[in-house]
Amino acid sequence: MQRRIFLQHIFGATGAVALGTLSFETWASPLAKEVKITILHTNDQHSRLEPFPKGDRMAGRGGVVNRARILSKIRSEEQNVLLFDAGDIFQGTPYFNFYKGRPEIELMSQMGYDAVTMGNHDFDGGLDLYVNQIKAYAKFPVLVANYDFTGTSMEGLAQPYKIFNVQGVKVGVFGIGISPDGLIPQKLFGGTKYLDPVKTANETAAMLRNEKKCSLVVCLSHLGYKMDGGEMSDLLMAPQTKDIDVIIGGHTHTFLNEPTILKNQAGKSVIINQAGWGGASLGRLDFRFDRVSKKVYFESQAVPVQ
Amino acid sequence: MRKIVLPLALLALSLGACTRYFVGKPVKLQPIAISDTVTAPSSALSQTVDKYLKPYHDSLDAQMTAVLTTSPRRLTKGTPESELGNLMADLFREMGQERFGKPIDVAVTNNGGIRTDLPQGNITLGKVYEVMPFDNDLVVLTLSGATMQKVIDFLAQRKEPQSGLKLVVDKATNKPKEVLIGGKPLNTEQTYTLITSDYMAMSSDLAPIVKNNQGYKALNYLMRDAMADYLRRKGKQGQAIDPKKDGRTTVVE
Repeated sequence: MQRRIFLQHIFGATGAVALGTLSFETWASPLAKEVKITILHTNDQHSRLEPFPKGDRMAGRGGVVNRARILSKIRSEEQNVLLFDAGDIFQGTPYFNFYKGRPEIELMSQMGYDAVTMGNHDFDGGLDLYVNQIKAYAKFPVLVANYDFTGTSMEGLAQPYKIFNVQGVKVGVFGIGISPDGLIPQKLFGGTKYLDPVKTANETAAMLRNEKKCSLVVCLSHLGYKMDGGEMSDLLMAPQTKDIDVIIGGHTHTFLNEPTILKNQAGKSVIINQAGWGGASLGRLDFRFDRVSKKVYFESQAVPVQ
Repeated sequence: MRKIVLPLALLALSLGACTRYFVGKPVKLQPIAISDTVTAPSSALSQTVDKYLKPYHDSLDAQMTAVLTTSPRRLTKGTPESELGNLMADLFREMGQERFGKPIDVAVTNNGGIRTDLPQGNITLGKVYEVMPFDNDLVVLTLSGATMQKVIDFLAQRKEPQSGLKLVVDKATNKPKEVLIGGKPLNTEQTYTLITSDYMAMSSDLAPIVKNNQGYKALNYLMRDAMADYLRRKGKQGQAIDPKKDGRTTVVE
């Protein structure tokens, strides 16, 4: 019999939720009874380095100092923490207008972000500005699989995916950007070519799963949770995929109390999560790879940042 | 009843587990401990972040609280015209002309894009950001006389802030009753220039009307920057702003 790890959402209403076919052989340490991986994520920070101001609906929420406190606490409690952002780091407060994105990127480096993808507003100062700030201040990779940057200043800087080896459990992470049509002026998109998001996502995820033997495949998406105009979105994409386990989304500023779980083409579960915007929330997904039961458990929390 | 159902359910579960999965021993589901993050204490990292942010914050604060000029009274928006609406439309036309290098016949903006009042007294850059939080660019459109007539029809209907027109609107029909453009009647044989935001030109209800244009020039000049530059200049010249409701848009029976 084929050995499988199944994912179970403990508080979920539907009981066992299967997540892909994973092999134990990818575990480097045969002695570890379980490996726990904590994924934390933000999206659509929109240059909100300080908490939302007085009078705002979200007054007091967010702010990088508050986020840093919470990150420190979680890191002191958890061994394996990965921190991601799903795009739109730039634009939205005078910090961006005055400092052109430097403090945003430098602070994210300090906070130990492991990878980010690009949002449409990250092009707001032009592709070259983003490239310059990333080159100068980012200690994390920019992952975008479906933007072809050939011939642009971004060529060779962005990468489609990155694999994180967490105590022998391989976590494959890749990025998917939104269509620039009507969102990103051509002069700002800077010669970037847009590739089909679902096709690219499937190809990248299949490669991470089959060739690279990743036990968890994570897509950082800036497509949006659900689009009013019927454009491609996380909810539309997930059922058309085969090898993505988790979609960490952005763009629509969607606050989710718990992830949405949809079935993919193979009938396996895809976890879709998003953490609002402006750093008001920190998304948290804990995965426990259990050697005894040969299952993967997960639990989620929308961590209020305040 | 419960005693019978429960073992059956367990049997069904365990059979399912045995046949479908490789389960070494019964699985006990335990919630993963979630940290109490609201009361997370200050840390080395949060202190580093705080220290890094402070000079940026202080510098921004100093710039945002700098006084550009003063206003003798609170200026608000409204229809069919308003002090704040007139100020904005006039300054977009004036500052836009300098960038465009040629006179501009009409400016149109939208009340919806004016997000708050200008206070009496000191007007700071921070207040300008509150009035215009969106990064909208000024664009100049060249329009035929016929298209300009449709823009005027739109304005009569919506009563958005404008500069360059004397517009009398019929109360019953919301249609223009009298129009002067630059003090003269509209000539459908000539072209006119219109300055507005890229939002108005591309995405608002005005967009389908001005889509039929003979020239589209993005000034690469944010409306907010135009507003700040105008107010700063007034301040440097020692002038308070004093916009008036001058009857440029009126509604009559």
